[in-house]
Amino acid sequence: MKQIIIIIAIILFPAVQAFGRTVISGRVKNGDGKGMDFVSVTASPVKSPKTILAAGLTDGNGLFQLTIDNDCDSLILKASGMEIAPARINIPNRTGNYEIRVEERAVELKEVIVNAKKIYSHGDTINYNVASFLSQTDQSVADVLRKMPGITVSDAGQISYQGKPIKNLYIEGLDLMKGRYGIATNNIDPNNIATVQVLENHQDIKALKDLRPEEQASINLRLKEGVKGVFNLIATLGGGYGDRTLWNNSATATYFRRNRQLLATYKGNNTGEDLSQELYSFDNDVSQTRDISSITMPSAPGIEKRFYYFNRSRSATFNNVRRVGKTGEFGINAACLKDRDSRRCSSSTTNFLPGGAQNSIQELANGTVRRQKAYGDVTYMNNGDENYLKDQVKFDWSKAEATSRINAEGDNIHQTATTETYRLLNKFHLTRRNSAQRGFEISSVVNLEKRPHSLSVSPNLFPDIVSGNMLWQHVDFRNISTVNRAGILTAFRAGRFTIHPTAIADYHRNTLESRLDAMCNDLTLDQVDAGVGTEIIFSARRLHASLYLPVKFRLFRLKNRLDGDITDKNRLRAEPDFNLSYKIGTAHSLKAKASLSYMTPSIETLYSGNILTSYRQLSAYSVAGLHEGSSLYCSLGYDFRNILSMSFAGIDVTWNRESPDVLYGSSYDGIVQHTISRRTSETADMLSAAIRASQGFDWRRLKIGASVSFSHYDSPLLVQNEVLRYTGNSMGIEGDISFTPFRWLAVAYNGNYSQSSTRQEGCSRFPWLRAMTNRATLDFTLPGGVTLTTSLYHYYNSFNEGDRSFLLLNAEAKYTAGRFGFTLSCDNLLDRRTYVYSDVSALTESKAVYDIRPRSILLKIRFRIL
Amino acid sequence: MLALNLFSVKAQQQVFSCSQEKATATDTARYKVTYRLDYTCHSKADKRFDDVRTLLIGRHSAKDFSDIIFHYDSLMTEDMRRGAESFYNPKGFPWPYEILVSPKEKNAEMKYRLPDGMDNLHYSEPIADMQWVFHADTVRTVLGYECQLATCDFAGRHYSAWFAPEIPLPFGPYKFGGLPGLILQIQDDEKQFVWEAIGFEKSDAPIFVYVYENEKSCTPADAAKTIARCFNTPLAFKLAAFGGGKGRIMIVGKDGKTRDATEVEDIPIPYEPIEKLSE
Repeated sequence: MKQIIIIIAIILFPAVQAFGRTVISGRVKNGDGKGMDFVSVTASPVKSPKTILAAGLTDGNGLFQLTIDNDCDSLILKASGMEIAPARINIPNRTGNYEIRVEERAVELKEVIVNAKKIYSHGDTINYNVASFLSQTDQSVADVLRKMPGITVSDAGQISYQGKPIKNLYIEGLDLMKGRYGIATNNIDPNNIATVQVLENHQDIKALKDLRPEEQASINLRLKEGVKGVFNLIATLGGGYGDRTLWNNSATATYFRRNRQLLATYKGNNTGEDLSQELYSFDNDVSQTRDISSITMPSAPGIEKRFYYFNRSRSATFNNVRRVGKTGEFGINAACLKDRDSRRCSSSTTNFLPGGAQNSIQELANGTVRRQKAYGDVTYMNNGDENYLKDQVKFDWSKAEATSRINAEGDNIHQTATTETYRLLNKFHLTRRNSAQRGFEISSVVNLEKRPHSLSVSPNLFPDIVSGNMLWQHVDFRNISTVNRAGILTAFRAGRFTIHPTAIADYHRNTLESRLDAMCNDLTLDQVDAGVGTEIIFSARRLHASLYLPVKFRLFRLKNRLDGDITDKNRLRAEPDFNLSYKIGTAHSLKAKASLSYMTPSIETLYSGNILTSYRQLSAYSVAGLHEGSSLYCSLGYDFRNILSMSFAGIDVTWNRESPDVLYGSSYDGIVQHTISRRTSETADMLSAAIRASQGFDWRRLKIGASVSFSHYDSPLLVQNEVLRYTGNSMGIEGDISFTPFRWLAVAYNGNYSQSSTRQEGCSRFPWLRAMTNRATLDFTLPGGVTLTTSLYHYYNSFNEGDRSFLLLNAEAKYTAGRFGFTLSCDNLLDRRTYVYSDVSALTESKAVYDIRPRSILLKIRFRIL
Repeated sequence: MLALNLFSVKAQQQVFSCSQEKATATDTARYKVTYRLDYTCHSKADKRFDDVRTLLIGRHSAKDFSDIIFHYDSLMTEDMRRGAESFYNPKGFPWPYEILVSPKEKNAEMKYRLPDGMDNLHYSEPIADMQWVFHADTVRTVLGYECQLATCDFAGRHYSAWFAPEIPLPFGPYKFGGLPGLILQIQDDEKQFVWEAIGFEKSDAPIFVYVYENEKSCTPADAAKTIARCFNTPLAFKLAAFGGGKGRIMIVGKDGKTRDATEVEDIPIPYEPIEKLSE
């Protein structure tokens, strides 16, 4: 080809010359001599390099040809392309063949991102453009998520979309956090996020796509291009003073790519920042054991924890995930926490007894808890289109050592308690399908758990039952359980109906050992569930209905190892679960759910030897036998969303009826309290309804969210060996607004109002308890790049005596200079020292006065190390 | 009985969303350029329309399409996947061309969406080499890139293009390209079509070719005739497309009154095609 061009050029030379034109041909080659395809070649006069006389592109062999119609002496021949470094050669303006050597190198270009729409949808993904919601003072992803219509973030950090908690939080499509996504939402800089994607009805198991709809949404954080593949290490050092020296330090390392991600954090503070919150797992792996006895500590008042949390906390986390092959992922998540929490409060608790009598207790409590916690999870997942395999091994350990002094009705009580928890959990899930939507699914969960805990109390408030002035008790609660399912995907299909059979094999063993002086318990409760389940699915274009009907043979065996007594019980149980969803057009949908389930006997209510459940409560259960109750649940929901107008709304109505076989309650005698139980045929009903709406606006970044909820309950209560019925109504209104009226001012408001009242059967209604919380934040951007944030907190409680309103004020100033960011914050500017909190529930009224953190000042310096 | 809004016939033709269910990835985009297109149907018409156009540049091909139409198509596709039957009228009056250019084959696959849910015309035509004339002393900055002016005659119009030598990608909107830099702004002398880049970013999105449900293959000449007829006799064209002589079609006028389509005068919409002459 090259030769042909040269020959043609030679033949044409005289003719071209006759017209005063030159024909420049040649080849663009790389270092190895290989012709470079699709490279731009331009010719310019040497004296005017910007003037392009001719331009062309190279062909597959790197060859080009340009015709020049200019009489300059010499030319610049320039080659440029996206994968080469620009190269130029000077040549005489004569017809000829030239070679340009280029170096292969990707060209880095400045990107100009278009101002995207605030929210747009693509398929089943709703994209929120983060820049449209972000303000200068937002410190975490959670702060920005709160401003997005349709999304809410609870105080505990749980993210919900359209009122339902999300299933997974992904970063660039990888599940880095495995349920503990609070670490990510609290520590990733929101400025690094380009888009928040809500994956509606996201079935995360690819092999189950189009086979099993998913009700919960998931969220994917899409990062900005410049953040991917860059290792960041950011540290914060902070020091200040309140009533003592304050410190608040942290370091965060991040590395995000599509195939490998790392997030590691260290945090330490004594400034009231709760580090345990972000370690909480939202993946529903609930512990199978609980504390039977516990130290009495001042309870949590209804204000933000940072105000009453006198702490010393340190935590470190390590989260890593990498892709294995095309469809596999391997992840490690580990963390440890050390925390000390001191609280002080004086409280008055009144229990309303049958016949209108009252039992009141005044307590002054002062306590400290030292907690240590560690966990480590290892996860492997292969998520192919037809094969899915996931195995997750989780280890948890925690230890809490508490001491508390209580002055109650003239007694000075000293308590100490230690609780340790060890847990090993293995979760396995395998799905295989073929293109005809047939296949099988196996899942298995194995849980091993041990919770030894002890409580010592002095003096003894139960001298008639237990001897000695000091009580010391040890309790060990253990659980071994395995839950297994094996099912066939689409075993039978008839028209729009499909049937999926499942085999069920579950085993639970709970062991309880306790010793309080001479009183002991040594019980083992075994539960076996074996059976089959059938899921019948009807799926049409708009309507999807499923009925899951498991029929189980359920066997219970309670063994008292002290006397060798064995109690058996077996039953055949059907626990149907019905779900229906109906799409009314594109914006509206209806959902309905109904289920019947049976409560299983719990070892926590089967022991007959006394256990000191708190310093003033002694518990033993006198009703013998393995009792079950039933629970009926129905719900109806309606959802509306319009992405284009940024409108989200919904209504949920639920009704729940519980029919326990045994009622548990308390008998009060001055300061002490005994647990009592009785067979019953009473039922408890609860009806609740909630309406929510959220609207985003393009104007001034305005977002308004509101919800109204109402609930009514009618329940039995066992008090002083009498069964009382009590009814209650409660109503709650919540609202939030975020707004940027000017470039220099951003406003955020969040408030809720609740009112509730209870009534004991045959007595007059208690007065309404009205409570309100208002939180308003103003962010000012001052000249010179300083941002000033003021936060006002207002709490109102109608049961408080005296001043029912309570105000707290915080202020913060921020300044960034190069790679350093400075934050000067002052908490509790009004220097309030105590907070009064009142509550009424289940015929118990409590009023408490808490110490809160005094006025403090803190300077933090944030800087990038790498 | 079908009721049409006469206003929509008068101003510009409104398109409907189409399902993207039948999609084939042909390339992977390496760059995404977003253009604002300001256009009219006729150079003398006062009413101008806006569109946001996306140009995905891949290794072997470049695809130019309306972001507005794409957005509504994807909404509809997802609704259908979930079982809902839905149609959307994309907001505004986006330019209903979809162009897939393969510069090495010097070929363009063209799709034109006819209004009111009628056919999608699909035709293929070669791209002629554009004879660009460079004007080195005329420069302007677009998107922060210094651009040089180049002009050319194409299909009966004279175009001025500003290209960025710093971005050595020989592409631009519609069929324009072949310059030693990405075209960031281009317009014809009558300013009937004005494209201006408003975004340039890296991408790894697949370039999909969609086969729409009501797609009709035709020659470029047939497509030009059909599009012209759709503007010149809009009512007759719709009556033929919808009714084919059967049933009644009612027209809702500006005054809000409903009339039988046969009693309404068929007023042409001023129209000049982008390619006045075939190359």
